[in-house]
Amino acid sequence: MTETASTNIIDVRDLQVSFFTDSGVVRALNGVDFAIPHGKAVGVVGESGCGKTVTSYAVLQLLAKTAKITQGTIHFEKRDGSLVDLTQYKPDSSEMRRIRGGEISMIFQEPMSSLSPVHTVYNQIAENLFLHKGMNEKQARERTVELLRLVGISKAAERLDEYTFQFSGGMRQRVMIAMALAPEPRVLIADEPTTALDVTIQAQVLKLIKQMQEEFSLSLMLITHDLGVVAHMVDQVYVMYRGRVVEDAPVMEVFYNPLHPYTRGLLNSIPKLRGPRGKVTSIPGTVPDSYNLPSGCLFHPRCSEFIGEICRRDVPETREVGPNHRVSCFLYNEEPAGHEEV
Amino acid sequence: MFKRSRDTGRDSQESRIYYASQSQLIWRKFVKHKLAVFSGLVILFMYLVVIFAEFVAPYNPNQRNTYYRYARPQIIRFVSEDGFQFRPFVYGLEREMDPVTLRRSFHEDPSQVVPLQFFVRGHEYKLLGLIPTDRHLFGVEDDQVVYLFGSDDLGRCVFSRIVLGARISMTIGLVGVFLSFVLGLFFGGLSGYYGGIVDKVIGRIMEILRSFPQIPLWMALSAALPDHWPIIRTYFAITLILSVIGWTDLARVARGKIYSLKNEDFVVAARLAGTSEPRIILEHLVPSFMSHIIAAITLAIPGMILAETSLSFLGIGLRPPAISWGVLLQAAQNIHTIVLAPWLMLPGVFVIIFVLAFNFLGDGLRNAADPY
Amino acid sequence: MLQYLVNRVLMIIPTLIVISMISFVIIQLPPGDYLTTYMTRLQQSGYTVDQSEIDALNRRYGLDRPIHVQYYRWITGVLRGDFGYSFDWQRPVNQLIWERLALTLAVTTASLFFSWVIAFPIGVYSAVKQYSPGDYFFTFLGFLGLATPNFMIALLLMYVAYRYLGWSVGGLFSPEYMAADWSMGKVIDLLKHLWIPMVVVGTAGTAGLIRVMRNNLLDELSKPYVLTAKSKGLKQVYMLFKYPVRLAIIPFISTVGWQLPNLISGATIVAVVLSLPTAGPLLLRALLSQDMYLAGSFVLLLASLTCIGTLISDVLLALVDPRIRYE
Repeated sequence: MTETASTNIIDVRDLQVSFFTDSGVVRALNGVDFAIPHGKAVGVVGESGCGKTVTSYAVLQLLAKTAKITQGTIHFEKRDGSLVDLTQYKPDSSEMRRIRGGEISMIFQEPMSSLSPVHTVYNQIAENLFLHKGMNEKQARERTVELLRLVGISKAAERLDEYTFQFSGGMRQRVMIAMALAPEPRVLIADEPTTALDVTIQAQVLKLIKQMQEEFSLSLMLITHDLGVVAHMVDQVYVMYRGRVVEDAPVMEVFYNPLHPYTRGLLNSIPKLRGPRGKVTSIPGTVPDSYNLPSGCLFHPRCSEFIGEICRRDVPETREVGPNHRVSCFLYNEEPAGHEEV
Repeated sequence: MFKRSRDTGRDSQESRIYYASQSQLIWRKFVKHKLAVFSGLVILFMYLVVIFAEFVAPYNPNQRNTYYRYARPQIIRFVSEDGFQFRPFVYGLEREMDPVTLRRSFHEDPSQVVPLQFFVRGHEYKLLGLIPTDRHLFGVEDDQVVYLFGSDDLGRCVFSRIVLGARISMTIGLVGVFLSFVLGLFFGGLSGYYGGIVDKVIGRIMEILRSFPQIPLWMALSAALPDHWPIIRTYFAITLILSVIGWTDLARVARGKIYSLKNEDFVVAARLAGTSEPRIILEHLVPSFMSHIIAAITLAIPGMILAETSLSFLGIGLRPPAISWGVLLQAAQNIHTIVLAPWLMLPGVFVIIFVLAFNFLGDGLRNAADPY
Repeated sequence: MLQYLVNRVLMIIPTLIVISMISFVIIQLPPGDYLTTYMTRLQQSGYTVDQSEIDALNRRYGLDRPIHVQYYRWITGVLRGDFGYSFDWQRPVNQLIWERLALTLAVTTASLFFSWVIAFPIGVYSAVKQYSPGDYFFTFLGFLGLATPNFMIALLLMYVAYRYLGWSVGGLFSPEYMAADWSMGKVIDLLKHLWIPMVVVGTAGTAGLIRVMRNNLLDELSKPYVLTAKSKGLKQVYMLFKYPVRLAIIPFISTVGWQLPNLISGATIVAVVLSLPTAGPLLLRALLSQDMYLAGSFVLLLASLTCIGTLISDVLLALVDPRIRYE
């Protein structure tokens, strides 16, 4: 069922994260399993509030103070080949900080607010070079120019000392990518990298990310709420719903053989350009809030293929239904899961 | 079907929350702020004391007793040399003279137990300004004295003077804030509603007034008040002076709120329906940011109180025979007096308590003003 | 940048004009005109009034002319450095004010720095350790500072110093330097005395500044760029000071604009209590004796001082915030 550790650079098992707030404990992740193979790209898809971002923050230990990893492992294969469990590190430990940026870089959603408005582009990129590459001022300047050229910023040498508010939205995201690539990481996590951008710019930025991934043989984790975005970008897709992975499959399988009703719902909500003109539908209802979780399968109140009492009563198990294709839904149970109850 | 019925059940429950009126929501949030609620109660209590000031004060604040000059405060006790007794009492004061400096001073004499009496007869006054009476909350036998906060240079009871001085100190802020409120709402409203050049000019004036050092300006204005004016006229003149600058803060709040509200649908609808402009401001806009205004007002009161206290302290605000906390503090201006009679600084403690309470209350109200 | 500065300087001009008008109104406030007051005063104290002197003053200030001419005469005089005549001191105003203003400036600037030096680290601490006992403690202390009139702090400090330490605090100079000319020794003596008014005047402002710094930093801490900085693997403290604190400083600096008027206000009262040879006591005395040219000049200059302070804070703001520089 799971690949061996050596083929995966990141391997997350049964990850649980809870937020401890004044008004109670909120379970944000409820046993997430996923893996990023070396040099491959995986996509994490789901509506907002499904725990995609929490998952990525958990990997880098960037969670808010109120959040805690309560269970599970995050195995990571370091540059030197050793295998470590990131959950064992304290968020501020030097080991964790070396991995952050140095081995795993992140690209954030809002290129404007994710960059400091009062530091120059050079200042923000070079910081990575000093920290992780031990460069001196001169080397860092040269390298920053190279990086900016690489991500397609013209007149890089001149724009080096400009501030981010002097760049357009798409250009800012390119700066962000250059910044993430600066320490030559092995894993790139992109959290909705194009959501805040114009549609035309979105395609360019996605293309750039893909290009960089291939050029540096990075392992990529692409987080998005838009299934359309992942089609050309990733090898494996993880569909998340309410803190769990409900289905994961190679990208083509997801499009041609979606099994979980939630995945199907997401697919139906993408407008199609080619092929038979189907109706664009949306999934009824919203992601349930954390204080009011439904019983059984968390998706059952919104499910169009609700099959009865079992959905309301039991949590479905994840089953392998094809090569690299797993789903957790009672529709695909050979035997009723009723007697597994405690 | 089961699913649906449960959903509707939840719906109606939710709507009960959503339909709580804005003031209910504000109230709920405010009550959670314990310190603010407590401060509100303290303020309420202090105003109650002010209303019944003559009843609470054991002495006429202007009554002199030349024997008891700079008498030290007496402590209310329950335990004497004879043990615990139910009725609270103070020790009598005994005067002594320093043989070297010839300075008189007082000390408590444990052999003289002076029991406190309640609802005693004393000087006559009119309760609430209407009912003539001579009852006081507490007092002692005629041949004894009770100075809970000591006495001043003329042998006047500091406790009684603080209680009566509170009347001016605790109301001057209210009147001043009311004036500021009217001015602030007017100019802030104009500025926010019409925008453009009106907004620019008013904004500029406000900026200039705010960049002015207030105390020197207040000093100059109040020094120009003639000495011979009666207390009441000086009082109102001072509140006017205080609100000359005080209105800018309120105007800023009002302007900001009106500015953001004026293009809301309900305002546009009112305008389309032909409602007159002043009516739109007063009937539609003002109620929707009233809570913010109340919070701003509450926070503006302490500034006024501090200003009055400071001016009177310097001798250019209210002047004796008026009694306010600032006027009382004037007696504590020089170091020799303070060392001799530190209790003359007590009015300042009340200023601090009162202002602190208003700040906490205002803070709580401001937090609660945005219940969503 | 240059454009911004020019704009700021130009914007000050109307402010200064309004300030001069208010000051002039203050000079005009007491009933009766200045000369009548002057003459009655002189006569009361038994002097004979020299008619030629009266005529000279009359001509100089156009006291028999309409009000706008008087204003014009007065303000052009001020621009040439002639602030009028103090009848209380029998000397031109400009011989009386400059040293006092300089000392006021010294006290105010010292208080400003004092309150920054105290408020900055406490504000950062309170924000980073939000809701910790330390945060509550400083928040309460801040409220207490806001609620205590400056002069009360001064009184308490005087009392404690005298009662328990036997010190007599007050003044800015030791007796031997009081009337002396300026020298190195006098400056050192001044610095020795400066700290008390500095602490007293600064305390109230510090309370407000702590809150400003704390709230700014809390705002900044929740912004996405902080996460970006963290994701780079920077050390926690380095990250904190390089990014969120650096940005939280911007509104902190812009508070100078309202801090200065407050500090000058505070210094005025505290100076009276601590009998400092600054503008405060002289202004008070001038107001009480209706020595209006002196009083008006102080109000004018103190207000102008805050204008210049605001200008300086604007320049500082442009230095720390490139968004303003490149506007």
